[in-house]
Amino acid sequence: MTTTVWALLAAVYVACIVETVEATTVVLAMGITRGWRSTLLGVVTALAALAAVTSIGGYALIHWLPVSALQLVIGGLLLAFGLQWIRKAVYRSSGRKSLHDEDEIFSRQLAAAKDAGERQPFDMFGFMVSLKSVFLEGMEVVFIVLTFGLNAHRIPSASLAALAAVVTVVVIAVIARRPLAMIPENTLKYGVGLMLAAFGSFWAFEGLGVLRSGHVSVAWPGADWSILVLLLAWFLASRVMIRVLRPAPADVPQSTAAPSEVLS
Amino acid sequence: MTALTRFLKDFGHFWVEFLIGDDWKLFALVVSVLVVGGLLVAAGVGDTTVVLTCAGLTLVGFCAELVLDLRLEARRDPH
Repeated sequence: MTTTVWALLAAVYVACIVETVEATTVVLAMGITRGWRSTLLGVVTALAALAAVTSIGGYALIHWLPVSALQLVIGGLLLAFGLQWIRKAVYRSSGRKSLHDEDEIFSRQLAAAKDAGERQPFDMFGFMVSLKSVFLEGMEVVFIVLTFGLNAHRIPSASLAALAAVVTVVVIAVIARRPLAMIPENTLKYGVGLMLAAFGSFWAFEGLGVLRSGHVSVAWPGADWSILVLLLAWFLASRVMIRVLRPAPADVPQSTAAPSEVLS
Repeated sequence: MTALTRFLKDFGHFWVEFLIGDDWKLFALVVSVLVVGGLLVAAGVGDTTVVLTCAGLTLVGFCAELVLDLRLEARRDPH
């Protein structure tokens, strides 16, 4: 496998770790307060729905679109997605936004579950909340796996990387039996945002070739090596913006997350 | 509101947030850059010029958007 493919798999793995941690926090809170039967049923239902969406979406994308159109659409979405992640990372690193804190989210979910009334034999609240959480976070995983997998023609490898991430998080959660606040989620999100923006720019602008006769993709100078240059460019731009946006010390909001996770 | 209605409403909200995000200006930036790139390709401009122009516009646009947000925030809350 090439360096680019390894970088893709690393991006899928890290992105899936982040999304799985977020879903696991909600599932843990529901399981503890509302019972594991309905919560796990919600998880299984969401996973079945995600499998269906992945199969149908993957088949449709592969068979209906020419390669350059696929690059344009998928790269464009990936770029838009990556810019949002970098923007949040820049705001968090500059102190303009509180860090994502799984402990706080867990406490909020516990309180909401306790306020939701008495448990029934089949607890609809626990079922719906866990289903929604796993499905919504899972959709982001599906999107990342499909986009990276389709563009690199490595859907099985991308799926395995995603599965490895899910297994990693679930094993840690089962052992720890508490929210996974120890995983440096904000830093991981920053790294994934940079990779999404780099790969997204590369593919989206390549895909502009769909507009010329023959639909031949636009070529980057240096081919795949351009991805590294794009990665570096997005990293430098984000560091500059962190400095530009950093407010005076008196204006910085108090963060509740671990100090070790501050990005700069 | 039933749990199912709430789920469907949240699902719709998710797709808007998923595709456009919480800052529509960044989505608009990507679309605008792709339109410019498309025009350059249609005009027969060379590949290197197309990709470098698009990449440069995206980087500059992203930084400008963050600075613009900062200015708007300062105007809304001068203290």
